Amino acid sequence: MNADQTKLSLARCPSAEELSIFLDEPADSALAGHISSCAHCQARLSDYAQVDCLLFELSQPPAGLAERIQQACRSEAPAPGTAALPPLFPGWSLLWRYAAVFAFLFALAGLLTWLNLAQGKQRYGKQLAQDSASTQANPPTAVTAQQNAPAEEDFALAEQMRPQGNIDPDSLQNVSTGAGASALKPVNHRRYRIESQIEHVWLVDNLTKSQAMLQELGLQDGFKLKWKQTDNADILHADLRGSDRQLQSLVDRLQAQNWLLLSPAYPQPKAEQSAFFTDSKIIYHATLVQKDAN
Amino acid sequence: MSNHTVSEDRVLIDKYVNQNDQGAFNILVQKYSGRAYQIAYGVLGNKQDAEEVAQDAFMRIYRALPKFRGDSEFSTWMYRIIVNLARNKHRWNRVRGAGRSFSIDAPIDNGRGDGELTIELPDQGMAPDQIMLYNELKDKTRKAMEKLPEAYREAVILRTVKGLSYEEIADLLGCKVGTIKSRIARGREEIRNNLDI
Repeated sequence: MNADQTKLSLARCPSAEELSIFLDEPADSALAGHISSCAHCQARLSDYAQVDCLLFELSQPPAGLAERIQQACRSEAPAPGTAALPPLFPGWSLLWRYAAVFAFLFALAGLLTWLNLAQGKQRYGKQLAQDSASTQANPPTAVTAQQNAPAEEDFALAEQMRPQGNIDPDSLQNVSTGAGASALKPVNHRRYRIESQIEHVWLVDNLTKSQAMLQELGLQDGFKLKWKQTDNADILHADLRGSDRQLQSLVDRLQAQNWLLLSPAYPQPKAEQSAFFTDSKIIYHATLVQKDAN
Repeated sequence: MSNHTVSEDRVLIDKYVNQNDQGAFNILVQKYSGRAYQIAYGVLGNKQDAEEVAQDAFMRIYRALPKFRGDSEFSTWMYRIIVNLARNKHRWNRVRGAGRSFSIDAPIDNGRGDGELTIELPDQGMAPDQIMLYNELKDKTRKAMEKLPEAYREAVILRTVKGLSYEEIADLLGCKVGTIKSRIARGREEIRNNLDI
């Protein structure tokens, strides 16, 4: 074959697609005639055939495949009659699918717990702010020394540790002290731990008698106590130092004297069951407010 | 697919569904697991993934066979399940960026030429250097398969390995016959170029 004949032959060569189709369906006699006389097309067709053979070789299933599948069907698939569920994670093995579901459920549980905790914390923050706002009064102007009063430095320290914040000094004017006065219920119903500093506002019938009563009960319960007088004759402040367990007892006893606790902060009267005591030292800021005569 | 095979499949399915004959199902597995594997391999280009998909497919078939209505042949139904699962797996691998691993010391298979092709396939009597060359060629083919677009690979495998007609492949993959012809031709050509033969 000379150069011109070769060029002519190549010019008439079928496309790759035509050759590929001819390999699968060798029905085109014109094409067969060309290939029989064209070394280029013969080589190309031979290459395609070799590719097919190699692919066939590579695709041979591994030994024991059917047995493994049968065993898997027997061991893992439910009884016939159960429809196949749509794949939750296509392409994942069964083990990884289960792992993914468990991980999702675990994460969901963690999220719910976290949300619950965050919500509780938020409630507690609101409660504390409400409590603080409701107990803030005019600054103390005089101190009356009492029997067995604790050292001055104890209360100085307590004053430093008093919760800070935007407390409205006149907030007590908004507290109802009339016949319709009622206690605020704590919002958090989980088992609580008493904070190191607590502020309570009590509504009492007689301020003078109540002062003496708190003095007596406080000392009986082992508190160190210090009084603060205010410009307002209807309000008294007391700072007490003791333990969380002692405070729960004191609060119970004060309520038993018909004192009305306005603050929602723990400890609440008769809520011992839901408290978690650690016998830690606490400072109790008690504000006594005289009920209206009406 | 011969009518004899179709009717044989229906008998096996009936036995399994109506008489809970596990042996009948096992025969179906024996008969079609190899083909299922080959189709999955064609889509995935990975032996381990192909076996996993084949196994997954038969487990689905095992559960869903009682609801098989027989609108199509069992083999067609099975091929569709395999192709869908393998495509899902392939997409998942692509998204996940899973590395493909190929065994470079895979056992050497005997030649399976059908006599119509003039390709010399290695046999047990090959010289060591021929075996080495043949293994290199197989390794190159694996890599070429891996590089091949999914659409080309599955069409090529269904044709070259399964021997399905263009019409059957088009029906199975939901394409036109012309598209399938083109994909097979391009697939062969790309592998050929990569093999540098």
